[in-house]
Amino acid sequence: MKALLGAGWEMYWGQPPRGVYLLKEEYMADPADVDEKCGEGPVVVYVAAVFDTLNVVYGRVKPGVARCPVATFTRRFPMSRVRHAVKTLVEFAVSVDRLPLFQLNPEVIRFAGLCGEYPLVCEEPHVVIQRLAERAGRRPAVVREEGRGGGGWLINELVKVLTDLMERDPSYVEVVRRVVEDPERLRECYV
Amino acid sequence: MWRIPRGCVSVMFDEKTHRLLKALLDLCRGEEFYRSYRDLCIAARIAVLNVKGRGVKLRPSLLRLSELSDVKTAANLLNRFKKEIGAVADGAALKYAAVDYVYKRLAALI
Repeated sequence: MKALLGAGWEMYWGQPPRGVYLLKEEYMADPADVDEKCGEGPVVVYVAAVFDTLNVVYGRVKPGVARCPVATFTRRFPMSRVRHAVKTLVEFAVSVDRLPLFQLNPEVIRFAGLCGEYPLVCEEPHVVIQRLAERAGRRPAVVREEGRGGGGWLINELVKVLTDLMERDPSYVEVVRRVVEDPERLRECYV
Repeated sequence: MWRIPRGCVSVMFDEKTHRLLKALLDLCRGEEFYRSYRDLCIAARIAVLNVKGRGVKLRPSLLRLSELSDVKTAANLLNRFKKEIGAVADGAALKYAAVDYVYKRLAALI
């Protein structure tokens, strides 16, 4: 763990310090559920970046685990390095624990000034969708027209016709299956 | 390293992620948008699928798609998810993998 986090991190057995959590509450496990499974031998791990006025904690279980052993990795940072500290936690969560970005708490990312690096975490959904719609509208005319006059439109129409035929006459399912399996057979019909 | 046991985290998404998926699915109703971002739209559909519990087999029939190109796109997406969560996964893992894909794809687009 220390090697993954980098130099300066210390481990102790015990609960993490109070602070704000890197993950959204919805994606953190309930301590009671975890306590039930303690017989299976898990260790609950927290990683805490400690500042003078505030701590940022990463862990996958809400605080309050009573029966499982808890290990906390901690490192003190000056407030001027909050960005670096939170980024270390995010990188640990994403690359080591393979957590998806949507589970990150946007308030923490915003507080650390990391919105530029994780824009989707911070942006409001309607802004993201608006940008996407604008981008779709800006797509080159050739690409947009492909659906109307190009091969894409033709294939779509053919699929619709075939689907319609198969619904009306199930024997077409077998015909289509044979053509898909061996397209050359279709060519032979026209030779 | 301790991993969260299955069943410890609710399958529900947080409100912001839920709103994002809903808005994206609304946008996907447009035929032109759907054709341009078919993978994104199908991933969003997988994310809101009503699949629960363990033992969900990752196959396109989960989505009841009729167009061949949709089925092919879904198969490609599910093959990608299989590498992350296995061919038979629990419903939550599948939904999370789908939202992760949506996030990564949106981040690349915007």
